[in-house]
Amino acid sequence: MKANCWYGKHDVRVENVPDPQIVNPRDAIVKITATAICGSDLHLYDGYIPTMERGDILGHEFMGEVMEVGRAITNLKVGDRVVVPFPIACGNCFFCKKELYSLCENSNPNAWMAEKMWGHSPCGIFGYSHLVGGYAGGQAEYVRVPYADVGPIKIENGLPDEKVLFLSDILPTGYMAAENCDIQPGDTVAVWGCGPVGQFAIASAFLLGAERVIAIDRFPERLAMAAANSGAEPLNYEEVDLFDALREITGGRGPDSCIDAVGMEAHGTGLVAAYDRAKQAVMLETDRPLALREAIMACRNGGTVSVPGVYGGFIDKMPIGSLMNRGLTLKTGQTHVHRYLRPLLERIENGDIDPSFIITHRMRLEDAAKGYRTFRDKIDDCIKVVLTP
Amino acid sequence: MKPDLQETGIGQSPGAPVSEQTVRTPTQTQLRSSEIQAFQAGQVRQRQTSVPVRARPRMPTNVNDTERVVSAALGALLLVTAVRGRPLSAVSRGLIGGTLLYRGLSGHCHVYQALHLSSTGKSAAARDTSVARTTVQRTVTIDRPADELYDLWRDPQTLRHVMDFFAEVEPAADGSTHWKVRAPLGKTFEWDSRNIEERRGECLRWESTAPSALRSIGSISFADAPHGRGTLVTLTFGFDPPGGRAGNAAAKLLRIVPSTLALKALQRFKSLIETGEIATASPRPSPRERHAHKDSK
Repeated sequence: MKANCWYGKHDVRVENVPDPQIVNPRDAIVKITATAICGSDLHLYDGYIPTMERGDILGHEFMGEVMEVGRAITNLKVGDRVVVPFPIACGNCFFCKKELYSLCENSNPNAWMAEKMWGHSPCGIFGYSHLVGGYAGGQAEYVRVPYADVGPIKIENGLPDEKVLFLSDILPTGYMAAENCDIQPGDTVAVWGCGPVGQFAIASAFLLGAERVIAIDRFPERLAMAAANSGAEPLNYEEVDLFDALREITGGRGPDSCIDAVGMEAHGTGLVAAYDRAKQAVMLETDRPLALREAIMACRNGGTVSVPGVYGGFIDKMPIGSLMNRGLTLKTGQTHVHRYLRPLLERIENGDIDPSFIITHRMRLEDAAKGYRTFRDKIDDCIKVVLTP
Repeated sequence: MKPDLQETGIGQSPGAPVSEQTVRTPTQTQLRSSEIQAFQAGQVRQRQTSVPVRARPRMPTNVNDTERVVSAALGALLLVTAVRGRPLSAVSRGLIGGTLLYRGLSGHCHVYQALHLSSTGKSAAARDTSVARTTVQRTVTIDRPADELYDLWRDPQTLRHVMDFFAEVEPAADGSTHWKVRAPLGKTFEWDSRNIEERRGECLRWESTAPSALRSIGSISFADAPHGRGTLVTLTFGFDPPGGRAGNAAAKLLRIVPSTLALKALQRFKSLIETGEIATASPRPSPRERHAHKDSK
């Protein structure tokens, strides 16, 4: 089969590789009908996530048709259309029973590796380095899905792929980020980063009752999308003093909650941004936490900072004094996608949200390398690339 | 030479002649339980230790002869000239000269040691194959009652499946198990292991049946987790070769004992019991796997 493989920094190639096969009784093989490039794939592309190996198949946002099932699978049959959550979860362990699926104790065979980096291990994840299992990803023609009785959700209503594909990751990720804000009537939510996750966090914040949502970015097309599709108030941080602007907009208090939908490769302006770039370049810090610092400083007293943005390692100049003295709550985590599949599918069916609005580019799987470049460099106002095999 | 091992009586057996190809432990000697307790006590001290504990002289020679002569000569020269220099320069010359002289006379360089370097031709680790005890221990929580876990661990099929990332484990008719570990370059290490303590729902201890080439010892113990959260399962492996040629052969095995052995084995056990299968990403259908399947089971 054809698959998009990682070969190093800024080097991905579509190669012929052996087809996946059923290994365990609870596996399924899914024939991919649509897959997407995630913003977090760019962290791999830019070489910021350790333990990638040449030839690893990328991709954790995908859906398709069940081709084959293991002998323990009774909920799926050949031909079913399914969307597959990016975290792999067993459904049996302590964390899965608490619906903390992305913290599954059994799905990461390389837990020992993750322990060295992070103290304890999260779940296994498709196509996202050996730290989280080294599983082959879904930017391919076929993929092996472990614990297929727990993860995949069947799509039986005939909705097109583009409306349901993002249930695999970014729609639940944006939604969980907003849910973590515990939004109260009258609340103002500020969202750093208007990429796909930011767009869905903004839309979800409104769905969950936010009065106002402030969208922060530096790309006009992304700000325009947030304003047009969700009714957010755009704020270009290159044009204003962000902190002052947020304080004034919110009557001097700051936003009730702040969402960092940027993560480890934040851009910024001025000396601090240069400082982080330099430190990251010489490996003195792994992540550039500009958005996180700003979100903490700007948040109102007692508010919540919610972090769906991906971080990999260590950061510098964390404003812990601000977090502590002002009683902020920090909420984060890889998304527990499984618990949002059903409710969000219903919202799509009801027409509450149509996630396909973020798609700007459609390409063939063979053009994955071009897709990564286009997305990374935001060529042609690229916000989201969907690939079809 | 190795006080911790002498105390336990481990490492004193002369051992049977062994080839380096296959280290197979004859089944004759039985270890006293006091030895095992002492071994266990040692393990408690090294809880979660994965780095072999080695008896090593405090200031090993890590500078070769040529370097020693040059160091000593240069050091002496600096010390002599220091007496005649300006005060500031005299102090620094004196310090550097003294350090070099010490380095030359003792053959030990602290900088090399800190950097794990040696100019004697053998790295510190390579020279130190005499005796090494490797002990690994971990605890995980498994969502099953202790009795059930005990029975499952005793099932040879379970053990075979759980350990197959490290060793081939085959049950024998007399209730013992035969362990075979493949080392690099086609070498294998084999030993027989038998249970020496069996207390259902509490613990199981086993050891290799003779200590001639490699003493392997292990235990798994079970304790209730609070508030019905399952069972705390603690797994310990110890590998302990005697000195001499046999020890050197066995020490090669220790280098392939993963520091994460206990964690991996326990995690595989937990995954098998809780989910009915062992999570794995292999074989991974990536381009290079057409040639070799990398085992990340």
